[in-house]
Amino acid sequence: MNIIISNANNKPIYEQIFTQIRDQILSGDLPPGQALPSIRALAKDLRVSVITTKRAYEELEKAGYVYTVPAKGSYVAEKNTQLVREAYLTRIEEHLQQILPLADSCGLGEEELVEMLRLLYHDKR
Amino acid sequence: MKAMLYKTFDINVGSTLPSFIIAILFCYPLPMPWLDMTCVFFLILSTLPLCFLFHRERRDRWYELAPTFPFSPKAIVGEKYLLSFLFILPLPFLMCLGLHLDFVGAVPPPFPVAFRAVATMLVFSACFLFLTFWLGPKRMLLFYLPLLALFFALDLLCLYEKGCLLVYLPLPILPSLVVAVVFFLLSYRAAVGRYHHRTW
Amino acid sequence: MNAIECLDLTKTYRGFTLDHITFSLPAGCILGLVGENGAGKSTTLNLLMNAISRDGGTVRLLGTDNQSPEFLQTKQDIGVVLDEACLPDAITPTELGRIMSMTYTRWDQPLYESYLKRFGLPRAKRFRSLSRGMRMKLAIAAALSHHARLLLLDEATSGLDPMVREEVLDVFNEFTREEDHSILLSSHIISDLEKICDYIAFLHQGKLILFAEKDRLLEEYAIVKLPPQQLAELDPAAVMGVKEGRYGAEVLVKRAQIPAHFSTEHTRLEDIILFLARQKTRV
Repeated sequence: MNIIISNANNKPIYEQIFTQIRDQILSGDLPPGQALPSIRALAKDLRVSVITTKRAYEELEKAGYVYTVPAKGSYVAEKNTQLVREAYLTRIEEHLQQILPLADSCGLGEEELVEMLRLLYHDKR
Repeated sequence: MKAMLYKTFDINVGSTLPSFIIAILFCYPLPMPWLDMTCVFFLILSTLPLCFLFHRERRDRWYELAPTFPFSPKAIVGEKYLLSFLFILPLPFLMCLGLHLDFVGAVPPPFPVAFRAVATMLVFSACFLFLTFWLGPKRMLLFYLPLLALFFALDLLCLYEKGCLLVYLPLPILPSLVVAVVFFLLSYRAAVGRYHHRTW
Repeated sequence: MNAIECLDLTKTYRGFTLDHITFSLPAGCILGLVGENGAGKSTTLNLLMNAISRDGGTVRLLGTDNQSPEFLQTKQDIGVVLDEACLPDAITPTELGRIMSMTYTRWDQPLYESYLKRFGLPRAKRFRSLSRGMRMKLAIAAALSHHARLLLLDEATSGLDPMVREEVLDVFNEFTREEDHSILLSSHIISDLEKICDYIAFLHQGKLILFAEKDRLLEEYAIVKLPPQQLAELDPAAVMGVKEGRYGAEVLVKRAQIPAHFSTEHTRLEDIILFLARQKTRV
């Protein structure tokens, strides 16, 4: 499992951990049933606070990506298609969120933006 | 206690050993008739090593360090009392012995005087140690000199009233020793309490 | 269980008062105690160990009141490193090991030797002949070699060169891999604390200005650089402090309460603390 924490990034550390683990689960790098490192071990290896890794794991569990067995640890949950779809929707929305301010800066209106998307879509096909 | 003793004899040996040696040197081969002089002299000799030890510990900031370890107050205070006791016991006899061995012609004092000297030293050291653990080694001079002055005054009082020095008073030996030892032990108990609640 | 529980801890000296310090450190965490020289860090540590008597408040270490007779036994589980190591002048690492082995029931001589080797400490050199860095490393080696559960470290990294500091911080990081191992590390080098702490406490002129989870602090607060005219656009409730310069202003803000178009700089813990020191605001 690869996790890179960027300090220059404005995103909170627990969010970075959450996102990276989530993406690896979605992409299949972390298969269902795989044991995740303990909260403490991960914290010490990444040189971050245990409170942060605990939070990241809690968020992952809340979102349904992992489950925790008391006294044993956290494991990757079975792939839930609905969940996966939701995750992808969230990521698409995240990307779109990034596009809007860019469009604003060069005066690209809604119509033009949709047109761009349509062109790209058809090109791909 | 073992740790304390080890500290004193292995680590602080540089500062304590010379004072032990000096005290013994003045018994033999440079004997002086200490017991026939005012008690101030032999009292200083008997507490010399302790003074140096306390001074060294102050320089080492030992009493700042000691609370960070699981040393019991009993061990910290007890070590000093033990050292004191073990040093005091033979000292007057060494003083007499030195005069016996030395053929300069000085008359060694009679045996009972040595016992009374032990009792006097015990009482003095008991007061000294109690005051040190109560007021702190930093203020040692503040009470050491007055304490010596007190015993000097007692000597003078004895000379004036009875015509002899304190150690020549015809007091029964065993009872005076017992009283001195009991006083010494009580002082130890009190000193432990003072150290435990110290403000220095 | 909390490793450290401190309630209304007070100590008054002539000219300085440690004023009602209250905080708790959960077990398994590292607390960084920041403060300028003279802020009261060493006093706090001494009060925690009951090396000096307190004027008020209560202190519990590892669940035990530090003025109770049971505390002597609790000290077996606590390792302390004082400012400048503070060991006797004439002591050598070997002798220190001997004394410690007579003092701690769980003293681990092979572990101690391994630390001596790892830190490159010569066995027979007297404390007074050791460099500042070596002195600290010796004290740290001793503190780590009796299987303690709580470490109290007073300026343990100050005066060390960056490589040694890194090494020592690594050792502390390793120490807290165990769930019940906690550390209180006081320092005026905030960047060291930022690396390994879970909690940060900021002591300023005897008062505890701040006690927070370090990562949350960095998430919640940020420094925004903008021209002074734009200051008005910020919600006053979000502004924690302003520093006006010749060419612009720096503002410490709550990230969540400022308009989205303000770009926040990557903010270091040091920046937040320095801001708070100037403002003396309680967070």
